[in-house]
Amino acid sequence: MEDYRFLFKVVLVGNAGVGKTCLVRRFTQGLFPPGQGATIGVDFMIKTVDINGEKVKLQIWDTAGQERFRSITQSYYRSAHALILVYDVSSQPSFDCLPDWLREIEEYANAKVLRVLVGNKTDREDREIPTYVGEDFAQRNNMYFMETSAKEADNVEKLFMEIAHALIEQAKAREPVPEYKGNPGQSVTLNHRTPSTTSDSCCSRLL
Amino acid sequence: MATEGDIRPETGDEHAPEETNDNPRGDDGLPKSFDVLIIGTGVTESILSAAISRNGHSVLHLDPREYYGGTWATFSLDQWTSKTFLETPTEASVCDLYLEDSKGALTWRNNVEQFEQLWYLKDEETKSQLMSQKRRFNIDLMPRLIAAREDIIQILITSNVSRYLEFLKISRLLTNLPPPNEDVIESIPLSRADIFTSKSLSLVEKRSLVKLIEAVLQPTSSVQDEAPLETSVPEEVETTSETFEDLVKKTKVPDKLKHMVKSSFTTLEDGFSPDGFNVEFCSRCRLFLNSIGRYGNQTPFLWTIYGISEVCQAFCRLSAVYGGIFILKRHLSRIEAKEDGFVVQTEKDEVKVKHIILGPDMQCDIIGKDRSKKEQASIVVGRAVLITKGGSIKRPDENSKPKGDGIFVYRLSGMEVIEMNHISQAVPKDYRLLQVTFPISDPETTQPCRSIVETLLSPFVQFRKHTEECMEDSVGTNSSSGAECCSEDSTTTTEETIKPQVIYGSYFKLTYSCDSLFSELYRNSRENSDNYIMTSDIGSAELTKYVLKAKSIFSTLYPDEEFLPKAPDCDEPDAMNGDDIDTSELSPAIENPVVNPEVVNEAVAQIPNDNENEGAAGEG
Repeated sequence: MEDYRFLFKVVLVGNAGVGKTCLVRRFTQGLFPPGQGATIGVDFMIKTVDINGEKVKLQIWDTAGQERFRSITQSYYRSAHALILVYDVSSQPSFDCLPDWLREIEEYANAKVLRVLVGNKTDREDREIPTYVGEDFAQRNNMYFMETSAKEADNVEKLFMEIAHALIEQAKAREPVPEYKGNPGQSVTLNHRTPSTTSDSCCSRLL
Repeated sequence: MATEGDIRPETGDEHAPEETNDNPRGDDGLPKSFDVLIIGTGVTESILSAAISRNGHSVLHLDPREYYGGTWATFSLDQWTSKTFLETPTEASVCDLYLEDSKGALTWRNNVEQFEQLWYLKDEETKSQLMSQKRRFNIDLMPRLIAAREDIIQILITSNVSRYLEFLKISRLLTNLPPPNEDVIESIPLSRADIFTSKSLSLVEKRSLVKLIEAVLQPTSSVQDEAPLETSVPEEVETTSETFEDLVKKTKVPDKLKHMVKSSFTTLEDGFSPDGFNVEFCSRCRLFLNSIGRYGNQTPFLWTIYGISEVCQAFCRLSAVYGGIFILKRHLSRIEAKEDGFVVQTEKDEVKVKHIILGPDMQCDIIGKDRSKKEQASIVVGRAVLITKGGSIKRPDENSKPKGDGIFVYRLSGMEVIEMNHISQAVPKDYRLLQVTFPISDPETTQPCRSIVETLLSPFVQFRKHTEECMEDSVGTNSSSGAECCSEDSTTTTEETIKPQVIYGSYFKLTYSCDSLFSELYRNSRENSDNYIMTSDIGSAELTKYVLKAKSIFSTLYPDEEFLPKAPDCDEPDAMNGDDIDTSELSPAIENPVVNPEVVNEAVAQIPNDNENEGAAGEG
């Protein structure tokens, strides 16, 4: 069960209320949470997916509410492989805050982190941000882009699968990728630390 | 499965405590009342925040600064050189305090003094090269070595907060020899294997050291599950409540060895209590020796990757996961005691809280409540942060294989020097960061930190520019090529003589002072409950004391509750229903200790569960 080759840390950021937790839950648990304080005590979720026959474990982190007053700990961004910046297509303010979030990402996240912009809540009828506007913003800031609906399960699976795909490509390009030795405990911290002898190998995950 | 469109309250906080009628929200979505208000994000406050929030009490956690950690903060190079930590908010430096029968004030205070910084290598190229990698620096305001069996480690494990952290092992402890050989640095062997292979000790000294250690370990062998020395029963030693001096006499420890032992077990606090080392030697020695090898390390110590601030942030994260609300850069303007708690005004809100916990940066003066000197404590710590180039202070022995730890700890003439290379994540490649800490036992001393440090460390590092020095130096011919002699690849012939070059240095004093050794500043006693203002200030630099303080404050506020029970693991799909989770199911992150030799080489210690020697336990 714990046999997998890659483990990636994916973190979500974006304004409060854009649906970050819903995206995580839709993907990891296949449900749309009623949101009644049920997430107390949960800060990240794990789902193992199969990408072209390779087992990939995605560890997906939520902000734990610290985004509300812009007090996300720096350590939240540490060693993230992918970062999903979420806004709500029916909320202009959540879109307007994107530059602030980008600044924070620049400041704290690894420069090599895979960045994805996600416009969530496409099921809403009161959309304020047209697709092309989001697309344009993503392009200008060198990010992947996708629109999703956690409620309708639109594009959610696809979002995470594509991230997994891209991360594998990235990891493989950064040869050599040693066969994962199957100790899940270490992988939380060591997935990018190739057990080679060069001491530099761990630097890839640095700020 | 829910079917409603927008399931969020306006605030959109997924982790907010369930809203009830008696806890409506204010303008910016902040609930109007909390159980506890915490100010400051140092280690004690952060642990408390996690402990309180974890047990279902609502926490509002503020810090007037824009970063987490207070004096436990960690900075990048640009933040460091721009002296972020010297800023003191002016507008809110005073918060009025209205208590039942008296008035008072909370004042913000800064405990960094006499900060001085300079570039020893003034050329712009070096400077800009460093600045271009500014974020590769993680500079602790106050660096912390953590013994592997210290209380904080236990708490990190039992609370499951360790899943947010990574540690490095410190595998070498070194010291300079007593005069007249004070320029000679020797590695201190601490594990049995190290003692046997050590070249710094003679056979007599080795025997003596083993005897001493056995003497210390003897009576409590039951608590060691993996003491570094197998206990071969010593003949003549039966008890060990003895002092260091007693033991030294008893086991006939030679002078050089005595010095080395003293160097390895000394702490900063010893500089302030002359007899502390002597009396506490046995218990400290036991802690350290039991710490060795716990995570495959050869010294007692672990180091937090990215700096000690991570520890504070990790506890804050747990607190947030359980609904704690965090706001940085927010000050208080007024606190008023009421019947059932306090009404607190921040710049934007007014909230009601039952208890208030103040961090050590907040000084609380209550009129008519003067503290006696006895209750006060104060120490001054000298600090230096140096960036060097040109390798390690101690040249590696030809035979010793390079280890992947990246951190050496030196005890040099009463100073602790933590030397880090890029593997430690504290400094970019090709450079070293030296974190220097020393006690200033006479707080009135006028000698600036810089001259103290430059004098004591000059046998080991080069403060003046290399080329200048080379002219006068007798070995100048070997090192005439300036920059080259600073390179790590310098040939073996120059290795002996070339010292690392200091590029940048900053010096300051750090004052730990508290007006009251008691946590309780104010208590509003009622029939049903008491409301407290507590302070976590202890006027000490010792990590363990901060941890104990957190425990003691917690038990005052919540005497019947468990302190930081294990947080359920939430990373498996079925582990989602909050407290219903079977907590016996261990997270893989915690369960599997570092047993892989390759990992040991990488020198990363992910704190494992307590049964660390078991290793391969599967899930559940």
